[in-house]
Amino acid sequence: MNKDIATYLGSRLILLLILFVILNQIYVVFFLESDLQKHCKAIGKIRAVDSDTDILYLGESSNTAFRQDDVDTRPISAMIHDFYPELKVKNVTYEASHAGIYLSLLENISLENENPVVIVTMNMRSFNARWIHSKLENALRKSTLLLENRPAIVNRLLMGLSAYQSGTEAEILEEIQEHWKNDVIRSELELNYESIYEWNRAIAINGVLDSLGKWDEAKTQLSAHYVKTYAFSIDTLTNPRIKDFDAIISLSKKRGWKLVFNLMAENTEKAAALHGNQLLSLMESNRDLLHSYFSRKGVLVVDNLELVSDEQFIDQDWTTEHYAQKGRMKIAQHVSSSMSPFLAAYYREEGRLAELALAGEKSHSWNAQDHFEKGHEYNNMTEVSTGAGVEFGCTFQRKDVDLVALGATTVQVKIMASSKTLNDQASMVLELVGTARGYIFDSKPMKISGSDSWANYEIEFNLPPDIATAEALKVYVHNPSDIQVKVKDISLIFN
Amino acid sequence: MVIADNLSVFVDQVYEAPSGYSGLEILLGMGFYSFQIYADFFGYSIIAIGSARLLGVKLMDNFKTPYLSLGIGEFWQRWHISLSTWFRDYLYFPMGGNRVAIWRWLYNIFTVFLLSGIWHGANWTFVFWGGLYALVYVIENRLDSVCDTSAKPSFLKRLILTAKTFILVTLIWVFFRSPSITVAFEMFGAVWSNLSLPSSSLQVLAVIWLTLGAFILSDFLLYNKRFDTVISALSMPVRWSVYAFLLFAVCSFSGVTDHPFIYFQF
Repeated sequence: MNKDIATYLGSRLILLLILFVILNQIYVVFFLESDLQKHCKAIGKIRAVDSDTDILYLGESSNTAFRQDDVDTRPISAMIHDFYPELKVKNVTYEASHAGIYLSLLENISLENENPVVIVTMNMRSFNARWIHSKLENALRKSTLLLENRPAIVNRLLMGLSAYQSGTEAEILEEIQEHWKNDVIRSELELNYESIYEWNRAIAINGVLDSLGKWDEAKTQLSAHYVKTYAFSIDTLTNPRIKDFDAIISLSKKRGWKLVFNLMAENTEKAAALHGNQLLSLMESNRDLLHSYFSRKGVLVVDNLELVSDEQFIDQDWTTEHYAQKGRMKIAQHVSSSMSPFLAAYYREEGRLAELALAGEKSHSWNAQDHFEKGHEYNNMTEVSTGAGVEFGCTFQRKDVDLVALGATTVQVKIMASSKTLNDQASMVLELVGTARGYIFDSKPMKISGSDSWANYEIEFNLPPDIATAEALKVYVHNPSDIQVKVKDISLIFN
Repeated sequence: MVIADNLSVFVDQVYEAPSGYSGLEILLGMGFYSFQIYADFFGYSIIAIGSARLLGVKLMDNFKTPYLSLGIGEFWQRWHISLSTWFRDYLYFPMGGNRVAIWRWLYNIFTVFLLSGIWHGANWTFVFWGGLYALVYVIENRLDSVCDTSAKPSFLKRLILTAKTFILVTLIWVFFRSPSITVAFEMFGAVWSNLSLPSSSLQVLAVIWLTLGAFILSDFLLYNKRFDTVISALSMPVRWSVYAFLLFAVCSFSGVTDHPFIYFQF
């Protein structure tokens, strides 16, 4: 009898297993690709990474954010390329992501070069309760669910079951508040409060007073926000980000990658100004812990925590890692120099200037203030990639261009572009800030063929007669699509 | 998950801004809602019945191919049976049922349907929904008493009656689905006013038509039968092929937007 039952159950289990394998295969062959295109925002970014990449940079918005007055609007990853011009540098930029998302992305990226370098952004805020239980988490998890290391059909089923959901908004908020109440914060300094809840309550009751002794609402709110963001102590045993970074280390060891954790700069100046040493000491404790914990595991941890000054933070009334040009360049420089011991043969200490010199263009350095003449051309020899997370590229900017003196009514922009796939979403943008007339924005579509070869594109913009002197003139390629387009050699001809 | 969640995407779009869709698309949205709520509630009921059976508890069937009913009276014997039998046993019968004077019977019918509407929530849409069912039920009942219905209807007559019942139920669902009476009337108004608009806004995937078609076909095949008895009578390869299709549909085609079970709110 028992044997009969065992045979009955065993045969059905085997049948189920065979059925599962067949169904999975049918799904992979006929339906997976369309599901990836529909539900997995990351897939385009992953596929844009060439297998012969030497340096791969994984980041969130800190990589690409720039300030309106930046002359050089390139992302940090592109600036790192300046220091390693002979190496192929690629980036995967995914807004609001963190170690868990990077892990999913990395599991699906294969790099074939010997010992490629993988730089993973380490954002201190991503270790706090508010980010761990962020309501953005559901969307992020959903967008990478199909990439998880499971049979494809199981991932699809989990998506249907909303397995990426971590709770309703009310549940998420409750969970965060639990952490704020119960998580004890530890510091070398003697802190006045044991938890975020206590600290925040004190701010809410006492407020922050201005020089006249009056309640300063904006500062009070910002103080509370800084406390909720940075007043925590990382527990390496329970913090999920630690586990994700650990998993990234295991993966990189398996694949032979050289791993760099890029600990991003936080506005420590503002934190100190709002809360003195108390909050700063907590941030430094967490930094020291991350540095020592991951360094012991053989990872190069680049500590940028206090590298960027308050003035270089784009968001002054919120906590972000969005830096203006100098801030981004400082980080790129620091990361690049930190990596130089194991990439010594390729490292150019002078960065972009060295690269331009190599191209015979030393006289036209990036920030040069040229005087334009009618018909003048300017060539930028450097090839940059746009799309797949990098929306803007090949920016040409000059200040104080006297269009009246030039007598120009149009500007003809010539550029070389190349794409593997037809791209009709890219456009050429002209921005002008005039003295006589205000801000002007003009955008013209660039239909870039998918021939995978360099071709010339010419776009003409009208210059309004009343613009007079352009305080700022900016021309760039805008490519919000996931299709990568390479651009180079931008030239402007004023007619 | 496969039919209800996928249809909900289109239904939600239409109900959110009916003025942006053509008359045909709005009618399609109304029809889709009939199948959305049926697939959603039927599927959920089967899960509950199966889970209870695993624990040794036998629950009553909650749906018996309701959209193949010939009239509204029959529809309510086949739709949400657990609720309709409760109202029948604990409200309608104690009030005297139909063994009373005609005015009292009318009072009983309207009371039962209006209360079943209010059971769904304190909103005028549900009151209206219940009231409309009461009205249609009474009209059909009176017509049946005038016409001779003793003979078995022909196939064509059955087809017409089934279609009539489905159309009526679908139109009445509009009040159930709409957030307010105003929106419900907007839906009806937009059907006529937008008749000339092109029907290109709604993109229904082929796979949704395929699974919906399979669902409707299964209803015809299972008319007055149960799925478990029908399937157990089939040979093993056929039975497992059906299982494989169902399993594959659930795994691969289930909706990906978060749509909780509709009746959770009631």
